[in-house]
Amino acid sequence: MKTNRIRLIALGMAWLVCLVALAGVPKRPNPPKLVNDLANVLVNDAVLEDTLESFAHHTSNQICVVTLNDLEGYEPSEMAYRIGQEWGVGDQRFNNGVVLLIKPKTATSNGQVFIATGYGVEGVLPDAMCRRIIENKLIPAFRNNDYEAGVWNALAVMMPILKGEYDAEELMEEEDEEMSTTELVVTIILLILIIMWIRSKADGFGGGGGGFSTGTWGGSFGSGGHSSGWSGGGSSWGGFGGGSFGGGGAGGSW
Amino acid sequence: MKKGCLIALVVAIALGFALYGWVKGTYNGLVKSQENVEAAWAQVENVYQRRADLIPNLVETVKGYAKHEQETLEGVINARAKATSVQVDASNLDEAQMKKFQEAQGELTQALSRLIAVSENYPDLKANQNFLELQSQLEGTENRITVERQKFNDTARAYNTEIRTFPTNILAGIFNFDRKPYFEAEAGADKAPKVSFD
Repeated sequence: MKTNRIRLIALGMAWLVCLVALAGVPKRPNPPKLVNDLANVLVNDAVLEDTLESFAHHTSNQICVVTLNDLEGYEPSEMAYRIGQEWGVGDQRFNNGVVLLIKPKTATSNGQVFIATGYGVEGVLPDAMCRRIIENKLIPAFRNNDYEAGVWNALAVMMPILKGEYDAEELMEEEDEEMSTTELVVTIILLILIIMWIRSKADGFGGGGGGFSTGTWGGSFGSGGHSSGWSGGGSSWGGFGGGSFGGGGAGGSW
Repeated sequence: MKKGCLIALVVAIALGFALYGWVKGTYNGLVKSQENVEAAWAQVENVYQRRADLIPNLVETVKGYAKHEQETLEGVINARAKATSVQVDASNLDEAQMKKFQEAQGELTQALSRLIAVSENYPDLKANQNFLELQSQLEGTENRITVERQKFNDTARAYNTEIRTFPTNILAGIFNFDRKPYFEAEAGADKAPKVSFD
């Protein structure tokens, strides 16, 4: 009886030690994942993950989305920086990682968001640009509790910049004047959708409905077509590359 | 007898090689660590310079809206001039130089936070996109400064540990590898600046 109690206490203490060790920066996900929805606010995170992995695979830029319910007493900037640095987001040679950290709003605390940029992308994604993305793309959607839409909107701006298609400055001025590219992408996606729809219909005649669902596409479609071009494709993005962060980026709260 | 001489000679040569190998390895390792510290210092100077570069624009923008804050603005300009005038030789970085550098930059930090604090009183200024952008850049720069100071301290700590560990400390002593100073937490940096509303 007595030994049992001692055991129980020992177990309890071991737990406590575990809990203390767990506090702080979340552990690097294994297997590596670019979307880490630890606060459970993203509904369709698989599509997001595919998109980001494909983007990482094609451009070597790694955008890591992390949602957390508790910042463990860290400033959002520090938490985002630490995640980036400790997980090694981005390629080691280019340091081209970006961490998008979201702490959802709760009844008792403000929502907080921070975009941390790796050394290598500070130039194309300067702090002022990060702030604009946060103010114009993320927070308006977050205010409506639509975290996913906010993330997609932000990615729609960030991905082309990171890809090097646009100069960040140019984009800040001509944010609305790139309809032609958008239209092109939307058209292509519509075509793909139609083809898939026809195929699924054809399958449906044979075997009781194909696996096609508009829901899966809905997520990437909501971005206005900017980033959808990256969805689908290989999952072989290779994991975190050991990129370094220098404290760049911007944050906001709502 | 001859054979004994030969053995002694071989042993001496072998020892010589071993010693040479050790000295070479250790010395080069120390040089490399020292280079790392200097590189980390260069990064520190970079981010401080980045902050200094932001200031003229920031002061200009604030001036347009807050004409009555002449004193605060001048405080920033003076502190900037003082901070940029402190030049530190990375290869001879010592406690005194570090202290001077840190004091000058600390004053600038204080002056800047006073400026940001008084700007809270001007709604027009706070709504100005240019100002908001400068402010986010300034915040980003302060974050970078924190990070680079931390990285410098880590690098310096690794180097300091290396030169003081036996047997490396013998060579470090012979070749004058000196201890590098650390950044200390800034006195008063954790206290918010006082704002008067009169």
